[in-house]
Parts: sequence; structure tokens; C-alpha cells
Amino acid sequence: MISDLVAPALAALSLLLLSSAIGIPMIRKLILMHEARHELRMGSAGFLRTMAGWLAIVVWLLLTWFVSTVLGDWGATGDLDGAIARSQVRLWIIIEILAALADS
Amino acid sequence: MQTSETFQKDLQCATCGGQNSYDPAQQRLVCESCGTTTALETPDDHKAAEEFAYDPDAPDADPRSKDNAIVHHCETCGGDVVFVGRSLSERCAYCDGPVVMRWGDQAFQTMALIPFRIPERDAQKYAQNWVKGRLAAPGDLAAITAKGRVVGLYVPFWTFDSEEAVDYWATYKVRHGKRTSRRSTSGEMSISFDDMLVPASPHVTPLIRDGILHEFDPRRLRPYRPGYLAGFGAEQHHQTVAEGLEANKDDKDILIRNKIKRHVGKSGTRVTRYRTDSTGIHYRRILLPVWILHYEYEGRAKKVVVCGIEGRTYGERPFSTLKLAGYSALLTLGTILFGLVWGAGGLL
Repeated sequence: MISDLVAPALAALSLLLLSSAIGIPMIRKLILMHEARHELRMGSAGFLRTMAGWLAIVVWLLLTWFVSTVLGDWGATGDLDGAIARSQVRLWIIIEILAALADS
Repeated sequence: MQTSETFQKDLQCATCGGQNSYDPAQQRLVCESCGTTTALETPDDHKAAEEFAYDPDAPDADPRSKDNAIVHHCETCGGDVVFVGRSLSERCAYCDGPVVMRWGDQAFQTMALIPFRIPERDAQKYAQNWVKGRLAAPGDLAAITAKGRVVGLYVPFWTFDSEEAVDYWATYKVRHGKRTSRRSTSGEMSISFDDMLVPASPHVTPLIRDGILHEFDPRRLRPYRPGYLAGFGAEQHHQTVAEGLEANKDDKDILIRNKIKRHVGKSGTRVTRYRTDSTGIHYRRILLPVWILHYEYEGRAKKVVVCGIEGRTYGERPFSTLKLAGYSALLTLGTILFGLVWGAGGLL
């Protein structure tokens, strides 16, 4: 049973490292947006420019979450193909959410 | 900057002949020798807020200063700073680079200015507090900036008013069940810009302007008098009105596009193009007071700017990659744990 968890755990660890590395510029952007919200004049050109590009942060977090749900399913059932198949609905919902956010 | 004889009395103490400097805390000139204070208010102060109409078809008739001033020219960033009275620094107020003295070219006359209200010690404190409040800043940043000292400087700005008659073309999204499509729309609207502040110097970026100048109150403007500059550096106005309007083009574009999106008011609006007819352009050439703190981090020159009117602070800051990685790892870990539990629980 424990040996069945090794592969999903290693995959989760890899995901953690990869996503953390990808997240460095996202965190930087998040901090700049946080500072802009508190320090820049609302509605000013500088404020609007700083706030642009926030969708990349949402994409990063949603994709990380999505892949980890597949890994969680895989770890619980031991069936990677089944976990991927079951994640299709989730993936479709994520795409819908991103499309809606991109339009907002 | 005019430095004619009639203005010299601002700079010399009437009691002892000593050097005057402007004290932001007292809002008066103070003699550095005997401490005598002199008020600078005049009955005509209210006229400083007057705006001037701009006719794009007429030749540029803005008056230029009669005297050539000696400027401190920075060999690093090209900035030209004038000191009224004694020179305060042998370094550039913008980038801290070495300066050389030279005759400046004839600049445009400044119409008005807002005097410093924030004294140096407060500005230093605001700059330090701003640096200390930065998230994910390098651990040694506060110590490095603590070694720096703020420099008071009058920076040239424009204020622009205009009426914009905008015709626009845009698209927006429409949902049909699970499908979406884009629809075209067009319309017209009018936009009024009132007292848009535009830096007339390449050294103050629009981002820093938006950080330190939230409210502009023209009632605080005072007629230009060298006495207000005594003890501070100042950059001269060199742009023509057309150049100032051109410098404001990008900011105006982003604001107009944002207003068009709100006017359309539909989901997923994209502004395809717009055409605007600007009328009623009025402007002022003014100087606004800022305190600039220079520091260098890993070989890169950065600055923290404190508004000399209200003390709002904004600037350039480095990030600690290690701290960013730490925050990123924490957020990623939380997201992954949430996802693992979700997936293991067999949820949707």
C-alpha cells in the first residue's frame, strides 16, 4: 500500500518544486498588485497598468490545484488512468472559470 | 529659473544679510545666520491657479526665462538641476551620479509651484518606513537605505484639462447556452479630464506620480518666487506644450480605453479602436516638491520618492528571490494540499 503512494508522492513533490519555481514571478506580481491597491491612486494609469496581468496568477494556482487533484485521486485509488479520466469534468470547469475571468 | 536682482532679496536676510532658506515646517524663509523669518505670501497668490488655453494651430508663445542659469548637469542620467542660493549637493538629485556645472539653455518660465510642506526629517522617516514595509524585500535593504539621505527637489509637471469627444468601436461577448460569440458595438461619449498631472521630466515616472500624488489641489499653488526654492534643487521646464501632450498620450490612452469599457458595460469588452477630438485644452507649467532618497542595490540605482506636500511615498524596490521562492512554495503547498484532499476525496 505504501509503495503505491511513492509514485504519487514523488509526483506531488515534483509539482511542488516546479510550481514554486513558476510561482516566483507570480508572487512578485501579487506583491506589486497588493502595493498598488494600497499605495497607487485608484483608477490612475499606473494603477491600471499594475493590475493588468493578474489572470496569470489565477491560471498558475488553478493549474497547480488541478494537477494535484489528479495526484490525490491517483494516490487514493492507485489508478492513474482512471484519475485522469475523472479529472475531465474538473478541467472543463476550470476552463470555464478562466474564460469567465478573462472576460470580466 | 529667473535670478534677477529683484528676486535676490528673497535669498538674503533683510536683517543681517545672511543666506535665507525656505523652511517647510514654518512655511517661511528662515535666515541661516540670525534666524529671522520672512513670509512669502502675496495678495496675488490666488492667481497662481490660473490656467492657460492651448491652441495647437498657434505658434508656441510661452515665455522663456530671461537669464541663463548655471545648472548642475548629471553625467550619468543627463538631468539638469538648478539650485537657488547655495548649491546643496555635488551629486545628481535624480540618480546620485556626478554632476558638472554648466550654463543651462533657456528654459520655459514656471507659472506656479506648490511649496514644500514636509520637512526633511519627516521625509527621511517616511522613506525609511516605506522601505521597511516592503514585502519580500532583501534583509539588508533597510540598513542600506538608512545610510542614504533625502534630497529636496522641485520637479516640473504639467496640469492638463481637456474635453474629449470620443467615437469608439468595440466588441463584447455574448453567451448562447454553452457557446459564446462576440458582437460588435460602437458609440460615442464625452470625457472631461481635469488637472491631469503629467511629469515634465523623464526622471519622475508616471508610476511614481500615481504613488505620491493622489490629490492635486490647485488652491495650494503659489506664484513662482525663488524664495520658495531657496535650499532646494529644481529642474527647469524644457518641454513645449505639444511635447507635454505627447508625453501624456499613453496614460490618456489607457484611461480612455478604460472609460470606453465602462461605457459599453458588457462582459469581455475589447476596444477595437477609438477616435477622439480634444478641445478646450488648458495647461499650467508648475513645479511640485519631492524628496528623493537614492540608494544602490546590487549595482542598480534605485530611488524612493516622498511627496513634499502630503508625505505619500512610493519608489523602486528590489525583491529577495529567496523570500519570493519561500512565499511561492508556501502558497503552492497550500494549493497542492487542497488539491490532494479534493482528489483523494473523490470530489467533482
